[in-house]
Amino acid sequence: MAESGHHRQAAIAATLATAAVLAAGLGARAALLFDRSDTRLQSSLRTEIKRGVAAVEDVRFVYQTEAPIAFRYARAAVEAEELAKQAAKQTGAAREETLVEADTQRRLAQSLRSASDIAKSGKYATKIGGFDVGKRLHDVREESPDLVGLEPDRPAEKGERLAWHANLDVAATLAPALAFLLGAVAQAFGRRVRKPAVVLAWALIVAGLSAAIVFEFTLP
Amino acid sequence: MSEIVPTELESIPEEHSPFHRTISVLIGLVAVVAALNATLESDAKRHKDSQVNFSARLATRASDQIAASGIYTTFQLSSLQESIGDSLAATARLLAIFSHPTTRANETPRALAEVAASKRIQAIAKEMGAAPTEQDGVDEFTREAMTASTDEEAALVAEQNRAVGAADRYGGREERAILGLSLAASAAALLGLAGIISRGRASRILLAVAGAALLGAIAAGASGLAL
Repeated sequence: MAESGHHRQAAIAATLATAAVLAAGLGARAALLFDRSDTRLQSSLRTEIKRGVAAVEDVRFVYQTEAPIAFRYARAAVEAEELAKQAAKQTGAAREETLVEADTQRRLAQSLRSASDIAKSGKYATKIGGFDVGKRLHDVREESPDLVGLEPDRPAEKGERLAWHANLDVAATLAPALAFLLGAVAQAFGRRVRKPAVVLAWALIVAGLSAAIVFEFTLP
Repeated sequence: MSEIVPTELESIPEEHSPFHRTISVLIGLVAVVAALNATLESDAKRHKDSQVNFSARLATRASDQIAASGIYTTFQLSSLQESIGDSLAATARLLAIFSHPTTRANETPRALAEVAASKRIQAIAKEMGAAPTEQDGVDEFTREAMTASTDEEAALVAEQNRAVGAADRYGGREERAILGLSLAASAAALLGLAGIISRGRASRILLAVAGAALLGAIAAGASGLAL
């Protein structure tokens, strides 16, 4: 009788201990997953900042440094052309004066051209005398293709998936917690309650463990 | 205790007394309430972290849009303004010539050249100020940042504010769940102490306080859900 009581106590103790260990294990795994999730989310923010800074810097370089000089070159070149055209129609002092103006604009255009990578390259020139600044921006961006290819959404999505996995693991601790409650009930009440409570508690422990294993191997 | 005449106390093992039954069941309930609060806390943390990250990224994106669109618009407008200024200057020169007839022969060719040039320069300003397209090969993020309108920027800021609000709500829920966990842990400790003392007024008081802490843990979790 005493031996049977001892076995009974051992079974209940084993149930309680297993439930507690499983809950602790699930909690530890969830903490690890949350840590990895935080790392991914921080990485996505760093990537977002890096992508934005790179894009703004390229836009600033092209539209604030290069394009205004290229535009001033185009303006001087067009004025030089139009003045030369008008000079050709004139004679005497009018022709000379117009030619001086045309020459002034041509010299200005030459100076600006030597200072402008867009104007010098010839690659961006358009039919009407301007430049394809969009194409230039593309080329500047492509000088650092790794910065153009940054995708902050990817680590963010990974981080959220890891957090979801951690969340499910924590939710799975409900099974060992209920098993613990049943073990406590088995400890408190008589034989009629004890056996089904312990059996149900073990079923919950197995269910909690199975759920954790399924989450581990099926979640992306 | 006598081995010959069993007493009433011996016939009722201590762990089966109503007091210990209550402690056992309450400890089991504490475990369940703790697990529920932990689940609530982890779910709130997941949402909060996600919204904090999202709001920080949106804030960065809003700054990028303001900076990139500002630079681009400045170039677009200043080149157009310069070309319109040239056109106005050319027209002004043509009009001024009428007031100074002696300079007409020399100034007219220059004015006509300026009028013709200003038309071409306006076209060039429009062409160079056109927003980059997919055909140019510029990535979508940069194109969107450059061409973001004030309305789009305002919508982004509104979305960012919404994410901050959501993060704050989930943060509140997380804090309530942590309070619930702390109360559940306190209840477990008090129940353990009550079980050790076993008898007397002190153990009953500990049991009552533990019960109150358990109810507090349930209330904290439930109030977190209501946020």
